[in-house]
Amino acid sequence: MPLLSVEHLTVTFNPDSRPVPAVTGVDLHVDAGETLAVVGESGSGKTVTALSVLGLTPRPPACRTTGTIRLGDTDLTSLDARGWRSVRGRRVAMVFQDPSTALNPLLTLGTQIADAIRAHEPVGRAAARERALAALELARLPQPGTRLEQYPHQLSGGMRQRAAIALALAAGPQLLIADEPTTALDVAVQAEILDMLDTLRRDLGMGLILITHDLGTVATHADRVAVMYAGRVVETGPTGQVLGDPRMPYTRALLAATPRLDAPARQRLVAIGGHPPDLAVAAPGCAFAPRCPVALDVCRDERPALRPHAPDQLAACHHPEAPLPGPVAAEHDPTSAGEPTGEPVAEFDEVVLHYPVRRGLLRRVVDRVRAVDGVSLRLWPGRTLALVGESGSGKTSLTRTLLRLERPTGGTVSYSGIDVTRPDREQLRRLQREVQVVFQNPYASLDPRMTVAQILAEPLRVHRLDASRTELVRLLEQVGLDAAALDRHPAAFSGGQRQRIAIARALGPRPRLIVCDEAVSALDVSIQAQVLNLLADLQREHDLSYLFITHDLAVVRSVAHDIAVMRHGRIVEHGPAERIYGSPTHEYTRLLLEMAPGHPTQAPSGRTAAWSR
Amino acid sequence: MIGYLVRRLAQLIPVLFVVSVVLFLLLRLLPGDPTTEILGQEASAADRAALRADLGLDTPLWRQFLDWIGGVLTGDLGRSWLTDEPVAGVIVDRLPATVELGLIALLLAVLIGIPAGVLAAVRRRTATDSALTGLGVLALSTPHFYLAALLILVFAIWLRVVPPSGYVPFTEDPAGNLVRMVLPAITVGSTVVAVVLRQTRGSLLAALGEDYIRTAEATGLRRRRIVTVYALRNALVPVVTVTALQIGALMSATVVTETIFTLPGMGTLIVNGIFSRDLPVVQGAVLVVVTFVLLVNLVTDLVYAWLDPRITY
Repeated sequence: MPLLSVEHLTVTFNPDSRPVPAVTGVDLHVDAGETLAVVGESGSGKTVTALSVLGLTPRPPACRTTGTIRLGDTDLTSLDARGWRSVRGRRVAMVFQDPSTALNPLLTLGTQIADAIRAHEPVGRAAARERALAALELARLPQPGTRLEQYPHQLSGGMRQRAAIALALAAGPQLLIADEPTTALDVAVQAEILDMLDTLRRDLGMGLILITHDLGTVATHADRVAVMYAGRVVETGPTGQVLGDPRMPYTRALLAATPRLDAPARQRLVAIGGHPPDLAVAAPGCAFAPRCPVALDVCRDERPALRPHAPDQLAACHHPEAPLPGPVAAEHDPTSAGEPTGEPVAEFDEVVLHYPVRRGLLRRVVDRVRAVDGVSLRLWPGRTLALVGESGSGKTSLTRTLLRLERPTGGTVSYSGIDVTRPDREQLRRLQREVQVVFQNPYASLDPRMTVAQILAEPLRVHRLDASRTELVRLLEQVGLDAAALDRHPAAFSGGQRQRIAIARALGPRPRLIVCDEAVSALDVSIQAQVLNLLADLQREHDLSYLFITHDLAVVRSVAHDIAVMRHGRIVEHGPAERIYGSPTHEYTRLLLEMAPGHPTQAPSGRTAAWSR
Repeated sequence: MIGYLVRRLAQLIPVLFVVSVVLFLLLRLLPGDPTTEILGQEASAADRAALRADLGLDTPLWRQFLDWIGGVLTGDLGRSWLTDEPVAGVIVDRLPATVELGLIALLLAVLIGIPAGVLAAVRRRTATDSALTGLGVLALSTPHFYLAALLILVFAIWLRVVPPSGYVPFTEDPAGNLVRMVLPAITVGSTVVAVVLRQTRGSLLAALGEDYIRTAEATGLRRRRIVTVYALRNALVPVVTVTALQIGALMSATVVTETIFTLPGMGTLIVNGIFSRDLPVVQGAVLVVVTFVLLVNLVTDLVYAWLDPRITY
């Protein structure tokens, strides 16, 4: 008997007014000691599925949940509030995505973990603290004794996630659900956390549901996988089977769209066109049909059921044998292989940026934080420099000196002969027009009260450029949107569409250099591929230079000409992308490459034959 | 922490200096001649001139200011032009009534406003919530003089459960004092209670939507503990802010309220001082009130640090 079995789970939001079926007819099961990965893009229903296992979906009438969820021999769906409380934490626990918001900022770790224990067991304060200490040790937090008295803000991101895991494990659950547990963390920390979850699952004999959008993580850490799309499971089976021989075109497309370290450099990614359907609009047929490259008429009229294709492998597709168009033949652009030519667009020369640390009654400067510590880099026309590093490495600080958001403490930053720190009026206007930025979070970087037309026109007006509707439509068409978008507000668009709008805004003043600050990190894989391809196309068309800030070496594989790896404010390795990926010389670069999710060499035997094929 | 406290107290000095200058000049801009107020309409020009010389009003303004501020720095707030009593003594006599009024109003705000706000948030979109928020809006939009009149009419004149006005010091007759303070405190406190209620409801609802609340729910904690410890503590920081801001407003509310209920407090002292052009009294009283409000702000910042470990000074 499986530890958890979910049958025909359907979760509908606003069932009485404007029903949105977030999850429809989902069947899942997890055995003790097993890892099930639930994969899907945002809005696919994977988190809602997990929350219903904990009974944490909104209460009726805002939400209706049907189907059965059995944990061992308990039917969870028949539980009352008290019954649910006895399950949460005690039998099923959950670790959430962002450890910086998932822990209470005003309570010590000791209080929070002890509370989780005392919610289920009548133990005294002292005993609860002992158990809390043991939980912190289990999650391998260094110096667990002092951590009990600490607050979440006193820990680094990775340690916070360990603390959150300790909190989840405190009451000894049989099933742990980890919802994107490493998405918000640095690459090196991601690997540590995932390995730790593996060990804990094995040692404690827990079942583990790993919710992720990253197929690399699935390949290396899951026994079985369920792929969700538009609220339904569309393919499921053993990890090797599903990733090695996917039957559902969506799974295949996701695999193709995932940036891989072992892909040829600067090859176009196979993006999935379009975007996920609006769940509130009921449509017959396969939900993926509008985006599917091999969809037939039957796909649009009739919804395919999950049918077996191989032992234990189920897929919901009418013609799972149809060949998919393979990756487009590598479109190397002619300049890519060669050396940089012409004059550099921008140049960092021995740039130093120190922040003073002040202490004491008179706020005297007692120390300096060396955010950037002597960095020299050049950006060339028509080329992309990827600046790679973890959070705190100084990559964003360095970029801020180019954007005049920060004044370097030493060294010079110049843009096509202009000293960025003291331009004259004319030079400043040129700088502000020719250097544009695309930020990480398209939900925060567009003013929600402005229409797209206003957003696009604003920089054009500032620079007295043509801001006619014809021009705005031309900008939108460049990024694959059309005139219909102009009079709508950002809220009407998906994350990928918003990032396209942000790119269109950056393109407006006809820049020569665009700074992309983690510009695709917040996007789903299929959308990420669209945006990366778009950026590569625009670069070829307009001879643009990109400064691409990222923590993920795999993501920039398809766009970077040159790579600079940054750590502790310094460049530790710098060179052409081919060389860095092929034969990294610095130990830290090798570490970043090894730790990157889905790296072929990282795979433990057995689980990932398919991935490294 | 000590360093921070010293710095903050040092910052009060320039603020208080600017306040004194502005206060002094504004009062000198008041129309009318103080000597007329003191000696009456019929006094002769010679008497008035003598009084002007006596009060130092014949010297240049800067000279008058230096005399006054010099006295303040040595602890001498001057003497009343009208009664010749020391201003400091007058203020000490009047302070207890106002402080008591403010404290009771604040107590009401905390004891009624916060629980009512929590109740409204927990029972969001129910009749309870509507009733409480409705009452809050009503309290906010009722002028103090109107509410005071209404309270006197109902409780003092119709029901006769409390006297309509008057004051006895708490030290002389605690029960009599409290009975007379009830209506004024409700009058002044009504706004603060309403503001605290609205803020508590709003920030508690926001806190209940945070990720850490979902985490707490996922560990099986009881709803009561989640609301009162995990959410409320986070929600209290903005409540402290608005309460502190209300203390300034509270001071102006006491002016009207003390006048209606004939309480011998700072409010009536300042109002009467202005009407009779007894400027030293007004200057002293306002300066004390301003200092008090500034200190309350400082205490508020210290309360933040106590509530939120992320804030360190």
